[in-house]
Amino acid sequence: MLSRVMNVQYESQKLAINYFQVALILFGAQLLFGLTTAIQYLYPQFLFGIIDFSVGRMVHLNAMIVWLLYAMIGSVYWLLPDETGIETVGIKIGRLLFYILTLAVTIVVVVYLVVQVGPGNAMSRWLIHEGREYIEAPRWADIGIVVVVLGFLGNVFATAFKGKRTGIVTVLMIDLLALAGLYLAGMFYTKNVSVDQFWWWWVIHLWVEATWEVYVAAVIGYGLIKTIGANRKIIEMWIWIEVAMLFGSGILGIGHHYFWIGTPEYWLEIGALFSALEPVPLLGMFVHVIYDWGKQAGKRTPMTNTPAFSWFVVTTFGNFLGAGVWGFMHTLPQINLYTHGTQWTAAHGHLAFYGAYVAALIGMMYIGLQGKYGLKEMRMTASAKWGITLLTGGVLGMTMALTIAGYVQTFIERGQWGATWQGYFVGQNSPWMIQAYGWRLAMGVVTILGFVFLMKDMMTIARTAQRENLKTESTATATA
Amino acid sequence: MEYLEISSFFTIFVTGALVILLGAAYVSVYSFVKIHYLPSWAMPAAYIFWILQTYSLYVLSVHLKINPFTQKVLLAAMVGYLIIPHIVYFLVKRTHEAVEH
Amino acid sequence: MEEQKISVWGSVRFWRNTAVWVTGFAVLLLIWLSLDTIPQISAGTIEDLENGVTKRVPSAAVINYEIGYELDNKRKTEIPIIGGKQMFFGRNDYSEEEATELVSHGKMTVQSKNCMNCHTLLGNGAYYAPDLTKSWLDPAWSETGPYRPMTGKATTEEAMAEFLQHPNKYPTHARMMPDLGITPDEAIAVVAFLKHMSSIDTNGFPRNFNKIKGAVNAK
Repeated sequence: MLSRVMNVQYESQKLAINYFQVALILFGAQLLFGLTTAIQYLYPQFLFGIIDFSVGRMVHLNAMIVWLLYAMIGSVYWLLPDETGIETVGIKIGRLLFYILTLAVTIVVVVYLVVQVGPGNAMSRWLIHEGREYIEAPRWADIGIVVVVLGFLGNVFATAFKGKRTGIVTVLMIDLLALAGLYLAGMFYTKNVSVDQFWWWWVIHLWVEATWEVYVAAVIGYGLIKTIGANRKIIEMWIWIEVAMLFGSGILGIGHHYFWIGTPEYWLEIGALFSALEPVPLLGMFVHVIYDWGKQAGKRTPMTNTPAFSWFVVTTFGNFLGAGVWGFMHTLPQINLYTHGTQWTAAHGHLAFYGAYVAALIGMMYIGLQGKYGLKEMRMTASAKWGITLLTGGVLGMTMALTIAGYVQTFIERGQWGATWQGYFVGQNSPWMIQAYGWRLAMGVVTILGFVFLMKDMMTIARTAQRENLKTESTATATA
Repeated sequence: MEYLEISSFFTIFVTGALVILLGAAYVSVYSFVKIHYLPSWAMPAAYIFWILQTYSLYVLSVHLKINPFTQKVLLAAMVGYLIIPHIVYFLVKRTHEAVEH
Repeated sequence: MEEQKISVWGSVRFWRNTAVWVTGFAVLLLIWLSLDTIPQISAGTIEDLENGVTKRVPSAAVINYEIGYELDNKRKTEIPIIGGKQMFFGRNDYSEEEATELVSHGKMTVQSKNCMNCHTLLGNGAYYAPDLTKSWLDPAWSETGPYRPMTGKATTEEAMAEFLQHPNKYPTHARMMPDLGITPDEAIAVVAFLKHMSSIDTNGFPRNFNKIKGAVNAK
């Protein structure tokens, strides 16, 4: 029977689906505002005075961070009943918090787009935005986020203590607690810009290069158990090994943000050393994936969810390339002195976020889809293939274009012109630079096409799978 | 910190990328041979990748004009890098054996 | 765990303990380093300025002084040099409190107007417009640069304040700065913030600055 009825027995998993849905809408918003800002690099008059670059970019970044958080919360609500064996405790409150959070996010975005800027006083910071890249959310929303996250953590902890507390859940509990606690480091005003950026990085770096990485390692562990039937004990052991490697290198890797903000010189050595170590856990995953794949190839265990597994593979390689290769290329202080604050960072940022987080969380959404319709098996459809290829190709293309832009900018602005204003403009006017921005825009459009296919697939893949499962069943009956 | 030559920039970025990419090549060939996906005569290729990686890092460090002390630290890191895949593979094997027998 | 004895490498407990120890050690090290860093980047006092004591982040009262950016032969990087007294909007007697409030008002304005999502501050932000870290010292705003004649003002601070209030009157590039409704008071505060930021010891970022003709040098 073809049905659109949810086949989910846990309220927690229904809530997870809602989180995924809003995440996808925000993902669309992220791409849309990425598009307007990419156009503005080439045609500065586009939407000038209506949605200026600063506004578009703020929405581009914030939509991404918030949708990743939505997908992360959603993934936890999804796996929690599976892992603990019970319905999530306090799920009604969880649902209420979902509506509150979504309402708050909507208000924040509308204010970003309509009000845009305020006078230079505390009121602007409380009601409009904070003006600090990545964590622009106004203070009232900060407090709201803390309340919602506390409620979410309460759900997770209560459920874990009541039900079965697996290794995956334990890692998530500790990690989410740290993740939420770190947010507080970005919630106060300081008059000193160096001190401001010092704590600002505690939130951004310790999220993106430490706690989020560990979160993804744990969630992918769950995903591998689900998709290829990986052995739980090995997965859990490896999650702990990953925690040791990721936190061991990532926490002090914060040093590479403390090179040039006024902080003492010893951060140059600490930052260089620990950033050089940051690719090590990625290589560790690499070896492990190869090992597992070798074992798997021998056994021919059927894969139950090929789209999800494919996205997990994209994560392994994307994380390695984006965070590992593109990170190391400009992380040592000797060269970072020239590349810091150029399009290099943008190149690295696009591929690293996509590889490490976007791909992993889309994989989780496919697991959610499979579970939502109770499908035993879900195979790649044509749209799924187009989606993964165009999204990955588009992001890689943007990264390449931005890498060229970064190189030209470093060479002209930093090398030849001593990082002056004139040097900045000479660099931006270079034909190489303009061509690179053109390619970035083109590849951005490819990325958006990939998103369209992804959305189409997410809406239809379940029906396709049901139809095919029915076909196989009827052939089976016919032959019998 | 010394001033870098602008003509060094290109070399710096290429060798920086190569350090990680050749490292990955070394690690992958090593692991593939270990799981018998590649024949054992391919193993020297893994170590050739490591030698090329070390050379890339050396070129990188020369162009970055880093001080002699840091240069020694980097060389030590390369020895560590030589050993890491062995350790990781050993761990993967042991953790799997512990469960699968 | 009541299973049969297995090698330590296959023990979940061993790896959990390792993870906890490694993480704990890294966190403690980070906290210890932060406790050392925060006092070093806290603002100095007006007495430090008067007595020539170098601070990584000087007192906001540094707006009363001339600031240069010179190569330090020992560190082999460019560092800010605080020179003699200098007029700032016709005054050089801002008290510590007054200057701190002015710079803070500037910082609040910089945040409220979302400057960081086009420009970079201390190299962090967006890459759509020039870096502001040492903009106060930039040759473009100096006596020989193009911006003073463009705005018809005699000093860097007046030229900057004028530009900030009417960016659309002075298109410097096809990528124009939008009119953000910056008031005269806010403009003065923002310029004070920028001047103070240029006095922060950033370990030589941005690089090569003092090699360019027209860059500001104290003395």
